[in-house]
Amino acid sequence: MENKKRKGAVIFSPYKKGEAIKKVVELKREDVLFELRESKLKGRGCAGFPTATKWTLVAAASSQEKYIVCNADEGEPGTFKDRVLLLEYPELVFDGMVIAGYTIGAKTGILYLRGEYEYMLKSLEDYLESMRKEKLLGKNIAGKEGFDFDIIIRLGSGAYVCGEETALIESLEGNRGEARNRPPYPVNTGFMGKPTTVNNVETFAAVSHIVVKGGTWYRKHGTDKSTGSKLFSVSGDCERPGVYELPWGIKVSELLEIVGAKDTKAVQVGGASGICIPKSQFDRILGYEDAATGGSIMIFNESRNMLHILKNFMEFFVEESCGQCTPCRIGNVKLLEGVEMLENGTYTFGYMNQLKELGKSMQIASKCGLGQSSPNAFISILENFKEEIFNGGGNHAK
Amino acid sequence: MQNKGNHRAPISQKPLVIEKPKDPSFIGGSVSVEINEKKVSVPLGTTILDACKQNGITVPTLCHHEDLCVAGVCRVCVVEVEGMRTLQASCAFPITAPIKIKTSTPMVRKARRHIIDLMLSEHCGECYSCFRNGKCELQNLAKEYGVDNYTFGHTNQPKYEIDNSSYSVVRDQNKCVLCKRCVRTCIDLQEVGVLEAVERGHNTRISTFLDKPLLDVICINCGQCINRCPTAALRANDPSDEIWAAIDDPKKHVVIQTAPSPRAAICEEFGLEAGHSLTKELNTALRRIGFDRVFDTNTTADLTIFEEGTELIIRLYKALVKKENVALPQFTSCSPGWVKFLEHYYPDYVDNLSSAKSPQQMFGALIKTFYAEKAGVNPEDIVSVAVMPCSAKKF
Repeated sequence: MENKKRKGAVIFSPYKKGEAIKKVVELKREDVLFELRESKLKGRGCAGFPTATKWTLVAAASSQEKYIVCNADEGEPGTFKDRVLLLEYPELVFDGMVIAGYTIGAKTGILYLRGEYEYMLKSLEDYLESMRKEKLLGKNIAGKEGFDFDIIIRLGSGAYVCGEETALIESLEGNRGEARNRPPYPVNTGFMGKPTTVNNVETFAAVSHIVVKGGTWYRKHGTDKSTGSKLFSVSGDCERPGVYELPWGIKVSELLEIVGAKDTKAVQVGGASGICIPKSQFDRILGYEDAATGGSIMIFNESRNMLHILKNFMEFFVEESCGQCTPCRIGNVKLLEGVEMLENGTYTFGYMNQLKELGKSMQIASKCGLGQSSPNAFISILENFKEEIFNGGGNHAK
Repeated sequence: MQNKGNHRAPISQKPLVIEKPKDPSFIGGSVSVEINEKKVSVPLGTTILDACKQNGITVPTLCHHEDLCVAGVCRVCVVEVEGMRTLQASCAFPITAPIKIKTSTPMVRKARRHIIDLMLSEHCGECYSCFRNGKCELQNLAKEYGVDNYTFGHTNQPKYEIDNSSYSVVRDQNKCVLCKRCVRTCIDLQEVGVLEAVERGHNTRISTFLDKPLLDVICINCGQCINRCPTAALRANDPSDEIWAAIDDPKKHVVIQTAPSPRAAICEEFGLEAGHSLTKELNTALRRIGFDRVFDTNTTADLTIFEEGTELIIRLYKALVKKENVALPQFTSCSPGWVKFLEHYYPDYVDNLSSAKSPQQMFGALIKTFYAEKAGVNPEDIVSVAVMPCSAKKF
């Protein structure tokens, strides 16, 4: 399956299997954390929590038992970069997990693989087996006395919410996929109540490169607040959809040019839970300082009806809300009903404003990231495409 | 037998485990926080909700219940914590560092109103036709927050069939707000676990194993879920109509027995201090309602003690003197809920149960035999009613 379209200078730069592991066992734990801090690497899932801080917290926890979890649930609509990494560059991901195990002092790593990626299971298991044969997993890894680490793969069952780290851990423990109360955070009460770090597939891949090439090298790419590069999963109305590795800080308009998008009306950055950027704001930059994203870029051209797009997103959230907290469980249904009113022309401006206020309450009062981000699309599309939605109604464009 | 504690509850529903110094005066034992600009000091690990309570600040709650583990799902108790992007559920937020809390900002009040409004939009029916009217936690919240116009709509169309299969517990999910108090009560407090949330998102509902009626699952009829339900989703089976019909039937001889605890509990219905016994007043009232005789269950409580005591002596004699193999210790059999629990979960211990009937059942037997003969009434014409403290007695 060939679905990458551009190899950038960081993630897709040359790398040999086990290279980082062999180097890391020569280093002290503090040195690894130092390089990570130097790199200013932030979580690639979307939330952008500094990886060095997270690992330091888990490394400092006093528990004997710790866990590394790789979040390969990749459920955000429009993202497919982890698939590429796992299929074509498993060495980057698994080496990153081993490095995490070494740095944090964990013996077990768990790859939480999206249920729909079951077809990869065989090849990934084979790959892990080959690592064990090459002494890159198992006991005394790479000849380092006392460094034992192994990776197991667990399959998800298809719930979007299980991409949220605490719901993912609940799912790993065999419970209903529902987000936990935070605090406590997984760094001190994670899998089986033990300190756990949950990182994105791409984060681990970046770590492998950072260990080999150094934090300062990594930091040279991207911007000051968003260092390194990012894998963007580009889909929608463009000539060359696919996975692109681009430096952080690139403008939306530049990205559109690279992928061959014409006549673009709007770009959904960050998937269904992200924000919708209209043409007038195409000079915004992609990065943690402006439009942060886990990598999903959906492009819509002039022929698309924004209301249909919004309805699609809201249907997604109604379906995927885990249903435990009130704002998300019922709020999303109300927002979807609002979209249907807009379609049928049975809305009032007063009620639409109330729904927007409701969306804002959902953003701050929901229990987890799902509910907090589910009204983003509603609010940004209603705000940015007022003209089309209210003047053209649902019949403006089909 | 191993004490299970509450380990069956998911970690998500347990509070943060923090090593707390035994003495709050030790360094790090207490944290100073600012609640609504008032400086206070609380022991490390106290939840925001408890910190507020200790300092006389009311925070509204719904899914929180002091008997149960945390859930943090209704989101009614959200407060502002300085420096945090989102509002925090005060029931689930343990204080581990000096923070500044605001419990009643415009943002907080608006979010709470929205949440209550959302719950009401799916809470089927009207308050005036509900048995919980006036005693409903959701109704109280709606009143307190001035949520009185169904901003996001309202439904009068029931979605679910009422489950009245059980002898004791009636479930009406159309009134359910998914606070999961019943789920937590059943698994954590009672270690039974017949209720759990199923499906997800908007289809989430509280269900039994394979959606079976409550009668067909291992519910022990204890009714603890009813005690903790904030709305009218759970209630005890109400046989008033049948009792009225019997009273109104001139052919029937209707008698009633009252247990000690409801005789005291009923005082709370009349605004008296809890624990105030109203035995005589209740007896008079029952006679005025039309019961032909009022009995005191204490009589048969004595009989039960004789029975169980004799049985115990026999068992001990067999075990100690005759060296026979008998089941010891002997467990009481007075509670049908406990008996059912043992039968389902610890069937190996059924032999340990006393074979005596409960006081209520003994009285039932006495009324139909001893009393019938004495009063000269045909046992078939006697209707025996019991006022009991626990819904399991209906089983």
